[in-house]
Amino acid sequence: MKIALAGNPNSGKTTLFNAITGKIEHVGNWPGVTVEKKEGLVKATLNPGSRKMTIVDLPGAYSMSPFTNEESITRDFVQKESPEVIINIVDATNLSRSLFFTSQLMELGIPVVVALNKSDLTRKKEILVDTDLLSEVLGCPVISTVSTKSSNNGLGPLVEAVQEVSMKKRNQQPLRVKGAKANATKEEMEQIDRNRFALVNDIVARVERRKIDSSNHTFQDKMDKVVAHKWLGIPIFAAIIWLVFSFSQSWVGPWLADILVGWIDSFYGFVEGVMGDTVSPVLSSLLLDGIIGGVGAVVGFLPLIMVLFFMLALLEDSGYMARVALVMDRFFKKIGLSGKSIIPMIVSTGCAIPGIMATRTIKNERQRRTTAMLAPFMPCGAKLPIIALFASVFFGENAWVGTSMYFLAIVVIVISGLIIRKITGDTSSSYFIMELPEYRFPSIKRAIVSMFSRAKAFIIKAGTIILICNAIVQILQTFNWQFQVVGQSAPDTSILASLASPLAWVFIPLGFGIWQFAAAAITGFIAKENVVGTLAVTFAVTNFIDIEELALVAGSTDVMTVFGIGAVAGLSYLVFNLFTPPCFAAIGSMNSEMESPKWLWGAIGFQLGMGYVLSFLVYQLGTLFTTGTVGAGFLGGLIAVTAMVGYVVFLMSRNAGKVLKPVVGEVA
Amino acid sequence: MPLTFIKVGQSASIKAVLGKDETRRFLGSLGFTAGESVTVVSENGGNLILSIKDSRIALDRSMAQRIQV
Repeated sequence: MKIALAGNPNSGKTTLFNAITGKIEHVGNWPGVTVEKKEGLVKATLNPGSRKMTIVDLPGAYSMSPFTNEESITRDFVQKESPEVIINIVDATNLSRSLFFTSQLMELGIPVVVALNKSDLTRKKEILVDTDLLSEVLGCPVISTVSTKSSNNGLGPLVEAVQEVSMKKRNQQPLRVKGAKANATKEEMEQIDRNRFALVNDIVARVERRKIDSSNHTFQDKMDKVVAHKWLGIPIFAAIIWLVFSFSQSWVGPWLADILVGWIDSFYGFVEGVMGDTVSPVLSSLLLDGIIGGVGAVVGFLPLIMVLFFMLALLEDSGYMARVALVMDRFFKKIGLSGKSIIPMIVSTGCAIPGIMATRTIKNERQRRTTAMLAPFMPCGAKLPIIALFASVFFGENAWVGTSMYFLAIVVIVISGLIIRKITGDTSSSYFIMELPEYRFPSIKRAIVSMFSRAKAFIIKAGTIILICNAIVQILQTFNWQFQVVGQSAPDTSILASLASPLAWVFIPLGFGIWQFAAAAITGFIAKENVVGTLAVTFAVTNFIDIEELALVAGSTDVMTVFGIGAVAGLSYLVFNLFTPPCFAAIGSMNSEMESPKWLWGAIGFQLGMGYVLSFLVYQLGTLFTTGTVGAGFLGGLIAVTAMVGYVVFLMSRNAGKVLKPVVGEVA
Repeated sequence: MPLTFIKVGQSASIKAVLGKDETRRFLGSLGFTAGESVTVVSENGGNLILSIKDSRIALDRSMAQRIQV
């Protein structure tokens, strides 16, 4: 039996879906988190019968006429795949709008069960809803639910009601909306919509009693005045991001990471002891330095990433993110995007792949593709180890490095947005409409669940793709082209060194023309976690968390000597890795969302160029300021950078004289 | 007159929503239809926060200008 979950955005569909199926789909307290339909089976504890119940979670919709891409998915599903029952999730605190959609769903001829969700909030807001009367008026079961609670949440009765209506053969009668018919003209449709709202207002007047008028100024509105303030909004956002990075990189993260790295070290010692002298040195070094060392170096950062995801989940749950979209809308308008493009970028702070997928909510094609191209500039969880490593090696574990990279990313996005708008010659602007969810105290439990599900994905990745990459890197650096083991004295003769060295030339103007760095940047394109892993393998260091210990392992007095570059080049390398194309998987989702090879290759080229130019600027300007002269390879780099910038300027100028397209509005 | 003329804290009744069909109907599905009451809760750098149908909607100026009250 197939059951569809449908309702307004941010009414709690995915939270209810997770509670009913036991799955861990991503939720957030803002409209439009879900962009794809998701399926799951109703948990056995809720479904004692033998019949399997498949629940399909649909993106939020305000109406059956699709205005947004998510709404089309929802409409197509309920119309074409004809589910047996529709569970309509209704926000109990917002009946007057939600029932509009309910009345439309009831006209489809599919039995509807209303889940009156967030019913815990009605008491707080002193709203009384007569559910029995509502059920009677609508002619369908109405069940109060609180999907954020783990017990006594109304889900049992909800599943029972669904089973009950599916047994009954008698169809529910739709509400009688004046003039409603299947093939209405546009003018008629509008009149029907108005009648529909009139009917809904009528129902609400009968079933709902409010003590407090919802338009009254509340504490929530006061919060908005501060956090979404014209000038205060941005500094507040910066402070929050700084706190997130401080927790994950300077305070809680490293403390936990030290413990984890201790375990990894003991494991390394244990395996070393077990193998003893019985295993060949090549195999033992592959296992110890390549796999345990390389993967361990990456996994060592797991606590930092977990803390980051925990903090992000808290932020997402609080309702603050929708305000960020509101604050940033002003700036994004100037570059031809809207505040809607912010959501994919915020999601990309966790991982670029769901971020790129979230661009689906943007209707305008150019804006959608531009956003998919720019969202991966945000520092994602996989880039965090690189930030943490370079911040601690060169800048004393400063949270400002992470925070400034975050805001540098925003600046880069803004500049890139302008460039792309000029290149495409599309000046259409967009409108911004967004429902502001209520602030709420974020749930620690949900944040922990989200953190562990992300951690699991990270560990799986470390155990598969990262492990393989590290093993290959280790093998390539152990042997030379004649398949002889490379001696300790001549590491530069290995296959890896000879492959990476020519590339290292390209990086001389960026300050890191060293083959180890080149190799790590290349493996970083496969997955960004590889950067740290490859550096660990090629520099033969395992513990990147405790810098003092790292110095001991490497037998050097300071880590910068191990790397052989200074702070300026270190920053340049960090910038290069953050602003060049993301991992293969993200490029794959860019491909599917952009639906255009031209845009995809343009995006990859643009990201490569952006990384190179930024890195060049950081290194050469930094060197100029700190030493008074420009860095190595300045002239060569300048020629390359001028060529890249010149090409982009040429592309931009092609549209300069063109008659620009009229401004076409878009519903955000 | 357009909604942007309404002072912060004041309510008005919507007379009409202008613009392309699609935009108008999307606003309609959010509750912006003739006869509905809307309150301007606050203004933040050009964007308005409105109270309509028991929810808070953020709307930019150009959109707000289409709503006649």
